[in-house]
Amino acid sequence: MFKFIKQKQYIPILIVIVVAFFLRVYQVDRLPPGLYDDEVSLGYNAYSLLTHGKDEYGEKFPLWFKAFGEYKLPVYIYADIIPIVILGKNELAVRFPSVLFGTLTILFLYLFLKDLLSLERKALKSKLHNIPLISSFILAITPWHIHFSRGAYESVVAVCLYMIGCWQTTQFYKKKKIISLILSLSFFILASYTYNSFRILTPITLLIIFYSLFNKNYISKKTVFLIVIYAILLHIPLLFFTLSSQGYTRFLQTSTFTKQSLPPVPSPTPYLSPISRPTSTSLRFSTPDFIAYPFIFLKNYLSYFSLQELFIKAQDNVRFYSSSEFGFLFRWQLPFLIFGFIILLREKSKILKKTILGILFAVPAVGAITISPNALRALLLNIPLSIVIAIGIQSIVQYKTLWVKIAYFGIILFGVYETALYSHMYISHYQNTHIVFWGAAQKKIVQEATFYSKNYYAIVVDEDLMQNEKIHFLFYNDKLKPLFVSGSWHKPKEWEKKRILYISYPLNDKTKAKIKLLKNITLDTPSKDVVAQFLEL
Amino acid sequence: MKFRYIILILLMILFAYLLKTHLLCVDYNGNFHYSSHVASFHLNELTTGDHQVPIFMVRFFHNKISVLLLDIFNRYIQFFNIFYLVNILGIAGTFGLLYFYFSLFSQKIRNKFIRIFGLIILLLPFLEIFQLIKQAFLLKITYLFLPYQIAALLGFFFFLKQKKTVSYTICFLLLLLTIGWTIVFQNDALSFCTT
Repeated sequence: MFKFIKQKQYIPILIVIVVAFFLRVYQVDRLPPGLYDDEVSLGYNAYSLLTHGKDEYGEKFPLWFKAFGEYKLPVYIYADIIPIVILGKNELAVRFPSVLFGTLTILFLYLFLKDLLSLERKALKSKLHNIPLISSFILAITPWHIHFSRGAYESVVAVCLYMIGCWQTTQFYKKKKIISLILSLSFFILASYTYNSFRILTPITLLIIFYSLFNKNYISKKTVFLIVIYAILLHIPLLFFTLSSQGYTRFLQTSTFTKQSLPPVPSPTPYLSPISRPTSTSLRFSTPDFIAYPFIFLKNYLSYFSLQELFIKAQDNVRFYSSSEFGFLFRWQLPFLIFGFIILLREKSKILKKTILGILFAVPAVGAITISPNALRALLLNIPLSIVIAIGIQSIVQYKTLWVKIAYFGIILFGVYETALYSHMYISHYQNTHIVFWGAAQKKIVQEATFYSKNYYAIVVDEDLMQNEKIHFLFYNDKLKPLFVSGSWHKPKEWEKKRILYISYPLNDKTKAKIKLLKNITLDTPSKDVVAQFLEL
Repeated sequence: MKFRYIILILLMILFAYLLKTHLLCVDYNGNFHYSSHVASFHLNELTTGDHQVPIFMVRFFHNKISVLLLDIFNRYIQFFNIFYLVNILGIAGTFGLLYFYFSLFSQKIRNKFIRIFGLIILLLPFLEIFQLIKQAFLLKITYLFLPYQIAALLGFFFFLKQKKTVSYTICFLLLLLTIGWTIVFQNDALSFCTT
């Protein structure tokens, strides 16, 4: 590693990593604004393991963490313990594993591509020698990866572990050392213990590796057999978990085949006479599964290649996109992406083309079995896309004609402007436009409740106020222990003479007896929208 | 008659079928058209969204030129979005169109007229974005659908002329399957409409 730092050729990648780290860590404690439910759950479980050795439900060092009606995989939670020890129980500590692994992904992408190119033909190697650096830079500045690395997302960690696995695999093919192969399998399997998509992607990857090991005599058949056994042994807990009701809960929640996921029927065009169309519900019952399922799958699969999603505006979970003006990639990257594809498809390569296209077409296939498009489940798609864009950039530079030079200069100029615009939108607008989708309001409620709690006998919270409110109270102040009640709750007789702090939605009708408004909780936006009221009963 | 011509005729039948079945999706409203009113409203929304930001920065990031450029890009991209293409060309036709441009840019196609035709297709969406030709929808499709379909047929033709490898055969069979699947099973409800 120290040798790596001393060599001058590595200075550019070190600069890229520093830039990437800065883009991911800058104001990460308040941008995105507040921890949302899943982040708080991850952070609290890590804190609880650190202090009591138990999760929030009292299980001692569990492998699967119960949360919001499903089970979370363990790696992120255990990885978050050290940041909580060092930084305390706060937003920065909860998001730090994402920031760190997000940055490390860039380093491992660089190392992986270096090794992958070294396995290539000499001509291609010299033609694409800058690809590792350019790809890493593209990944470092891509909105998709930056945004997810700034939130506590298990997917970011899993992508990094997967990249380490890829790098170690190329190390094995390069040096034929068994230790690299064992490390690669271990990291691939660790990725499947980190994020659900990798529970499918990892076995596919391992099967491809085993297939190549059996076909080519890199190592003896006996060693291959032992390595397969090793991989199976590491997979056994996950396999049992996947087959249990706890394991497939998440799949049932998100599967596109168990939910009605067909799109709503579009309104008829004004140009033609309206034709009556069956509604999506009637379609579900009228279309046989063998026709509907391939169609749903195909539609989901194609949605990952929708230019609308990639470059304009993502349509899925609003928390998943970092600005209402941007998609997952920059618009200036599109010409390079197209050009990169053409170059990649034209090139005669031994392994580079297969690897990039393999990941590119496999990731959406895994994502397509759930409700799609989902940027988080397809985060790994960032890697091949960054590589293809890098190939496009490097290949265009090699053209010396004036028109190409002018076009190139124009795109770069637009690229600089668009990147600056993105930064501006993220820093200045995101806080105001997306605050409701994050947990800033919940944090404020708990902080204010802590302030008022000394003067009240009990704190009562309307359950309808916000979903999964309890975990926010546990995370920000686990000593408060509020009572969560339904909206129809009334103060019991035995508490009649006690002062109760009631936290609810802004109430229009003061039907509850003797209500006194203490405080309106507002969002930190220019419009100061009231999200909750503190009332004295 | 050569086998490849039978496939191309099959593809033409698919296009005719898609034109009849899925025309409802593509009404060229909203996302496809540039509107100065929408752009100025959007600009207003962006500028008022900036708080405690120096005025020169607001002007630098939110001005008519940047909004116009991004807006035109957003409209233009709709004409090459995967769902739009699959709607009017089917999976096989979309593959044909992509292969056409792949052949064009990788200089497999040397014919000057085909190159110009490829370039024209890239420019045609601007007619619709700025609504330069205001006419009946059914006439409109002749310049918005037909050139795409011709390019897709050409692309598929070039693809069929390729050297027969294993990956070629797999690809070809899959495309053939999608043509059959679309004609036999796909109906109004199983469309790729996204609006």
